[in-house]
Amino acid sequence: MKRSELNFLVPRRQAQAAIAIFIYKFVVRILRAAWPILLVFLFRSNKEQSNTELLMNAVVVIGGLFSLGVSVVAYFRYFFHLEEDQLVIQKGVFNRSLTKLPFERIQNLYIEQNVLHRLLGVVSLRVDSAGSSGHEVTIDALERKDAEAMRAYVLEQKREEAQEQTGLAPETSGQSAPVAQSLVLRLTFEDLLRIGVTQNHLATAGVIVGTVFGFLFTVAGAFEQDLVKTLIERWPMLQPGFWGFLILAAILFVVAFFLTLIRTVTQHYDLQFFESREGFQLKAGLFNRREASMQKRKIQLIRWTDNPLRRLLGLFRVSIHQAISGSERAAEQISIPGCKSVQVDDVVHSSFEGSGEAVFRGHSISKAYFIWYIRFTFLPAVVFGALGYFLQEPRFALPAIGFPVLGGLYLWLYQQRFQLWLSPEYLKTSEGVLGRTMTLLPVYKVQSVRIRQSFFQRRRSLASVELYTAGGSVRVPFLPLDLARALQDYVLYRVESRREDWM
Amino acid sequence: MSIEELPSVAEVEWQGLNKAYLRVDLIGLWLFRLMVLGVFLAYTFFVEGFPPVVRWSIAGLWVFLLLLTTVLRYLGFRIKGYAVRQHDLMYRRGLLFRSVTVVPFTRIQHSEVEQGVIERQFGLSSLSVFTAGGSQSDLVIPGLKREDAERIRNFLSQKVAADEEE
Repeated sequence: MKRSELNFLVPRRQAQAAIAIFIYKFVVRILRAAWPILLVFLFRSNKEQSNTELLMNAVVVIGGLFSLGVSVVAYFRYFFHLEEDQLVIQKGVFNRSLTKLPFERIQNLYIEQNVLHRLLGVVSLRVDSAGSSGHEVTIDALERKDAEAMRAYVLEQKREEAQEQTGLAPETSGQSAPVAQSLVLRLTFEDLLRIGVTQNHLATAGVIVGTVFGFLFTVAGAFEQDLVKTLIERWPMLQPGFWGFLILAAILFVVAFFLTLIRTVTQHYDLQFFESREGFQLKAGLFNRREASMQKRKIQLIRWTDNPLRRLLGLFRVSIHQAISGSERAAEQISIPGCKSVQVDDVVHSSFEGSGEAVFRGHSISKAYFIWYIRFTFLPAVVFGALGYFLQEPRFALPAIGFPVLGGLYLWLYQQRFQLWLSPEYLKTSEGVLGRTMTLLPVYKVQSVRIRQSFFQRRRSLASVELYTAGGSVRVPFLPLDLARALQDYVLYRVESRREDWM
Repeated sequence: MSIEELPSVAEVEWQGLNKAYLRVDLIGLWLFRLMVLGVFLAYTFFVEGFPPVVRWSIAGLWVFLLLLTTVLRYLGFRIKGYAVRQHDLMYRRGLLFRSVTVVPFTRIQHSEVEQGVIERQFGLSSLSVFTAGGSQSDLVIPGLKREDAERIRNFLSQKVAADEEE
């Protein structure tokens, strides 16, 4: 791409739709922070207001208008442009700030669209820079073609830079031609239903319970009275009882089921997963359309998981991990549900050269794993046993026996099924009792190795090994000490003896 | 090269931390735990009708645990140590739960020398080594003399810079 075609070289504002987005963000922020106050305000408005209350309300309203003004001014004072080798952003209403993000720091650029973006016909461009938290940059509103051109330009510059460093001649043929992409996976509506039905609905149920309780506490706090108590007093049938509990649980499960189903369908709607020679690209979403791309050489590790239901259908969720930026950006990773095992192999083998032909040797973990962890199920067993004995409650025998039996079964299966696979260039683990999680990483991506030994493990010459990459870690518990040390020595040797572009 | 010929982590000569660090560590421990105890006691005296038996048994347990931790930290001190090898930095810690962490120089993003309030009184510093991604694989070596910490840091940044030039 010629530079003259780009209109990003002089400072410019965002698309005008950004004003609407700024205001929207502002309203959401206000509602999120102050909704209990607003609620109280609405319900009390029929009463006489005291002077202090009026004053308070006036302050709130004026403060609100003021910050609204600020968010509009913020638009007019937000400029961005590209320089020779960096992205420059000037912004701020009271304190002007100037952010310069060198291309070499930029890990990736994401084009995203939420409902509002789609209504306004714009996209947002999020720039991800690994390791430098607080320097994350989002340009809220851009025309799609501009965002795509900008992303292409920055990635192209980065590639040229990398080629200059490695001393390779830039490929003249591949540059102007569009990169050939092949579709690896596209989810149909039927696929989405299948994935949605086999989600973990218990997790959603947990979130619902948490949210409802949080909501009740906040509302009760705002109205200064115990809402639950009032509700129960008014409708005695809400009193907890065995049948009530059962019905409530059933309702909860149904709601959770449909919520997960709806969330799955909207989140992964029309998911398309492409592969090119350089990397992967993912497009998905009904309301919030997300586009992510990832360069193959930046991939640190790949995980694929199933659960008991999905195993019946032969489906896996594949997540591709690259260097995580900032602290908590786990969502940065590309995650594709509903992959068949052929597609998993496809993704893994094309990301990691030679992983398809690698010859792995398997290792199990020690049975001492069971012996060590089973003791932690005895404590609740003893507590429940003692309580049952002193309170004369035979029902307490159930958890007293259940903890060690079920816990022991779980631990035993976990120990039996855990496998570590090693080849000269790759490391793979397979773990899990109900579902299975496989993790594969190239040895040279490791950036730190830790060996842990409890007093128990030292007596038995065992050790746990933790391998950290910039995109996630792998933990192998209870290996024989010799093997753990040999693994550590080998990984370090492999990482230190060659210089490779690893991130 | 066979596995047996690789440089082995098991045969490392460990550098112990500076002796004064034990005191820094214990002072920090006692200050914090006693402060918590103080707040707890103040609270129980403030609340009317707080049963004294409960108050003193919790306080007693707290002090017992503090003494136990002190003994463990004391014994654990001689385990703590670091090693600067040809291509990597190592740190070892833990009396009951031992861990040995190794970070190759080529994977270090940057390093810092830090000094806490108590450390400063004893002329000690901590060396923090940061890797990419999450913070789990970062490494902190406490209890170094200020000069030593600076020296290792300079050594590390030279190594990292040399790697990038090659």
